[in-house]
Amino acid sequence: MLGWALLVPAAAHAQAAAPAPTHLKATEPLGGAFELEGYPESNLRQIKYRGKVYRPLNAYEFIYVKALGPMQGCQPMLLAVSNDFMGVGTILIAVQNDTPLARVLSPTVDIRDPDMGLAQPGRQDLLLFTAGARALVTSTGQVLWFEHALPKEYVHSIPLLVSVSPDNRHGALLLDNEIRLSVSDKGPYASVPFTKAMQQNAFKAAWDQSYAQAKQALHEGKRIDQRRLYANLKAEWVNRNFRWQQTQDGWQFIGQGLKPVALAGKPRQER
Amino acid sequence: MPLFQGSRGLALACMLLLAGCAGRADVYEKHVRAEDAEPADVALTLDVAFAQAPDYEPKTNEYGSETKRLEYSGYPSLDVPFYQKGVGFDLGVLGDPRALLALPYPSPAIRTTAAQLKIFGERLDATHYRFVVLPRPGWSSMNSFQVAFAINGRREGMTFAYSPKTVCESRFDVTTPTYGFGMSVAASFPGGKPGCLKACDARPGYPGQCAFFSGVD
Repeated sequence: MLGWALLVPAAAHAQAAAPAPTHLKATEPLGGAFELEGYPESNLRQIKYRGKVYRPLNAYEFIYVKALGPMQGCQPMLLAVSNDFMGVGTILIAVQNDTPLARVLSPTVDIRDPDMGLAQPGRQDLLLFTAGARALVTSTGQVLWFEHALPKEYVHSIPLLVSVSPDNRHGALLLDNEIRLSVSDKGPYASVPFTKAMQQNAFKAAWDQSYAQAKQALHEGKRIDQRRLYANLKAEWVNRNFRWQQTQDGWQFIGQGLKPVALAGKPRQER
Repeated sequence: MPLFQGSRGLALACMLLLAGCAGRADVYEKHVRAEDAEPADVALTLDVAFAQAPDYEPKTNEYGSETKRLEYSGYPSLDVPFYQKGVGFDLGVLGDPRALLALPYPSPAIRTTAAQLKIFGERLDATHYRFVVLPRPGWSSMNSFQVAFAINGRREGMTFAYSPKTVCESRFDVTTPTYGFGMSVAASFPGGKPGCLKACDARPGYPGQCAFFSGVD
């Protein structure tokens, strides 16, 4: 009797829901030879390239996939965020020699509040992924990564990429006791003595703001990554108070009356 | 109760008996050097020009007392995955375990075992290395490998898939997924025959699980 009572509404429901078959996978075009495939009621999608499933870095389900704009190899470049237990964060997919290849943009694995990058203040086409020390030039799809440690050096603090120079070759990395300036593909070359004490004063307001925003979001029923918000606010502060300047010694990062000091160890040379 | 325990004991004994039949796979990672390879064994030769010189601090470690095992480290290598299929047993249950009449029985199942071969490259100069892909006796190949290297201590891996049966352009430039190190690769197959090499974009450290080209057919 009870079983019958349970079955009847189910049958009635099945008859009412007619046209869209939600149990079948649907495919939508993404531009070029890329397609997205997934169940209409799920927000997880698989990426297909030339009709075959593409699993970049072994992640096969994505919560966000979008064409960035620029093309490579006659195919659109894609910005994608994987499902969290795939262990891959935000990535950029570009086609080389008719092979789709992925680049890691952010190691942050979080589907509630994925890391979509911070637009660098004063730049139209640059996204900073502070935690992974990477940046994306959105007009060309170029991914930049900056090394913060000298060869064989152990750096205790975790670097944050806070600014990229106008020529997209130099980056400023915020460490606990300094700002390191680094050339992409070569390594750090200078240090700005922006000490711990100065950072504590400078970032007090950023901390309070991130705390208030995270609290506000929690009241609205959302969970945001306060640590990343704080890191991004720090990057914004640094961009407002420091600026890039090209001198005869190369690109320098000037601000707060501090002078960059060349690092003792030279950037990595080809052996 | 005695019946139940008896049948269980019998099944257990059977299982142990049968488990003894399955050979034990040698799943250890084996290390070899490209210089020591027999030219006749080589399945593929890969010439790599790195955009930046990878770390080169070669070390040789010796392990084991009776049978010596050599391991190398400190410079670029190829990680080649292999697999072996063997027969194992799944434990099935006949009947309802709550009714004390359950009869456990073993049913044969295919088990896949994986192993790796690490082949260290031959250094031609600071940025040029020559690697070879070798077979591992008794193991099946996944036709895939990873070039593993480090620059300034940052470990990176780029996975490739190959096939001697199809033909494609096997000389191209790629950028690694994690740090974006550039490398240009060129594959040559034994006897100067044509073949196909594709960048395959697996998760670094997990070759054999290609992102797009799996067995370049």
